[in-house]
Amino acid sequence: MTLETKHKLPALKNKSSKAHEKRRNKFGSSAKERISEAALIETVRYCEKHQDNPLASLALGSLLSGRTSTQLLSAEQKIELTGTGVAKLHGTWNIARTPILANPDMSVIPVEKPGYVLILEDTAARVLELKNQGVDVDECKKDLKSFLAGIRPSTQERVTPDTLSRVLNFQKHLFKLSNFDVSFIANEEKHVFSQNSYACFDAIKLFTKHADYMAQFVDMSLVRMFIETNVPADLCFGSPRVLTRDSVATFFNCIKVKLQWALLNRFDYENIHHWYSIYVINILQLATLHRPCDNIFRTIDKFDFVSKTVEIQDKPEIHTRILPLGERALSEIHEYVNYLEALQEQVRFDSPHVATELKKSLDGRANLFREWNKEGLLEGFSSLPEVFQGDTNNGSNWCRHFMISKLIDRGVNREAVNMFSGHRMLSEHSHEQTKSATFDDLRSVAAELDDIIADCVPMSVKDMANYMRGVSL
Amino acid sequence: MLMDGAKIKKIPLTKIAVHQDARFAFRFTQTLTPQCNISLVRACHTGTWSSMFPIVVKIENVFHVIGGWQGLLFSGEVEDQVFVVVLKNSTNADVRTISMRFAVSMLLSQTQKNKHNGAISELAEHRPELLSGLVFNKSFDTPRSFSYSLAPIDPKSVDTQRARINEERLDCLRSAK
Repeated sequence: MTLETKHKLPALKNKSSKAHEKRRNKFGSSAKERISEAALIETVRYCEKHQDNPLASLALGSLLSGRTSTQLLSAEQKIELTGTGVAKLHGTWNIARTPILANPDMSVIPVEKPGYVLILEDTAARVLELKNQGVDVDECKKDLKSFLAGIRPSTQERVTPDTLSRVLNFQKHLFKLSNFDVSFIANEEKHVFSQNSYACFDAIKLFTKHADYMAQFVDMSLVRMFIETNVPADLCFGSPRVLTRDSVATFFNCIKVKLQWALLNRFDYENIHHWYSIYVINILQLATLHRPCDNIFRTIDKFDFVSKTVEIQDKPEIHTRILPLGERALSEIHEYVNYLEALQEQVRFDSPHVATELKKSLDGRANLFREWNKEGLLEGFSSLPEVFQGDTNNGSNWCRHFMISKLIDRGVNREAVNMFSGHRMLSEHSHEQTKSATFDDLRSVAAELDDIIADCVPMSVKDMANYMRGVSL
Repeated sequence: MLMDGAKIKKIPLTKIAVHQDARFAFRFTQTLTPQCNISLVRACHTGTWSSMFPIVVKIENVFHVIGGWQGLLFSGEVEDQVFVVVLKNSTNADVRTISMRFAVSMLLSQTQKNKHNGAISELAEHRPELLSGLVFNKSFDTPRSFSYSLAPIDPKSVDTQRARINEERLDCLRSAK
């Protein structure tokens, strides 16, 4: 083997692991690793027959939770027995810290961290017993494999620890469980479907769908009763950084008050520019779900008013993506450009340098959004307060967390939300034919974002160009 | 005296900037809504639509406007080079006074609104050459159309205003009876 080919080996390995991941993420109902319903029924009966054997509970626990035996027995896996016949199987994600908001009138949606799923207490107790015995996880998996080998389904299928843990993934469509729901229930690594950590989502909906899935194997009446009587109606899991709808309204009301004040003091163009820019940038943040990053929108030519799209760059390295814009965002950017033209005319003589710089922005030779302070027009807007970078008061990146949560609440296709927010799955590229969402799906996300903005933003600004020029005759 | 040694100079528009201490007065006058459609007026000998020369002081090769900026305001025609009055000496206090006085003079020269269109119409009636594009960049058919093009209003109101002006002028006759 030459030195050159040796160097190529890791790349080849990488390539095949990606292909493997792609297959794994796109499990079809006909995949050969799937166990048929008949074999599953026989497996459950077999476990019931050997209920004194803790391995039977481990197998059942894996089948119900979608977690592998290794995961269930790991030290990080917290199992909480409630004494009601139902146990909580906790997640192991490291969830972000809850922000401390500066404005007492604002609050985040409370979430329970890191979240849990419900399974039968009997099953969980036996798994816990195994854990407490300090069994070797690998040995236990081998024992489980041998235990499952005792199942002789009439279909001649082989039931293994791995096939059992995959059943949830194969059957998710039957119970309206999304990839993201399954990822949470099975406690997959956080980065696999990271949307779960960006969104705050309803726990009861998830519990109910999960209970529907489990009900095909075991009696779920205790779990359903627990959901009804012990789970608070507003219990949420996921991101602890999601502002309430009223807090977002409060945030924009603060901007409104500042902008009103600036507009009344008609001669302070810098202050008017400051607050109007903050308003427009925040609307665009809500409309594009972008990450906190310097100069996301860059120049005016990145906005395409014909195809109604914008190309944003929201990672420090080159990472651009084209997003559709809703009508609200388009209208705001249109108004802003008109305003800049009017401002350029107004300051032509009183601040010629600013006028020259504005011309550059309007010609696409400089960034469109720029802060204006005593030094003149700056290169960008990263130092503005009340926009994501400097916005520690409201929890940085709050726009993204808030909007993703709202979209999920509204039942928008989560794959499309994933692609829109730049959380592309490792196995997908937006140009692939086999991708989970199309550009039209992204347009429907943009329309939905428009609706959310209309619902949460209690202000709009119109005709700033006329304001700058004075009322026309 | 302030105007001693002042000179009229032709300078490129790109070398004009509003003086820092005159900025408030300038921005204040930008908020005023002109009663007439200034975009109709041609540029004149000053290089702007207004026959008033901007008053400037020269600082480091830039001409800082401190008064008389009427021609630089609004959407009227401005040529690439304009004539300005360059002061020889002025203090910052002078700049503030002159700029504020100019802002005030713009306010003081506003015509009473219920006579404005009548006055425009009367001017055109007595000097019909105004209708044919002597000062403006388009021509007009009648004093009435001239008046409402310049300061939009219900055309009938032009006649009403003219009638009212004439009536007022006849007041002295009526009271003499």
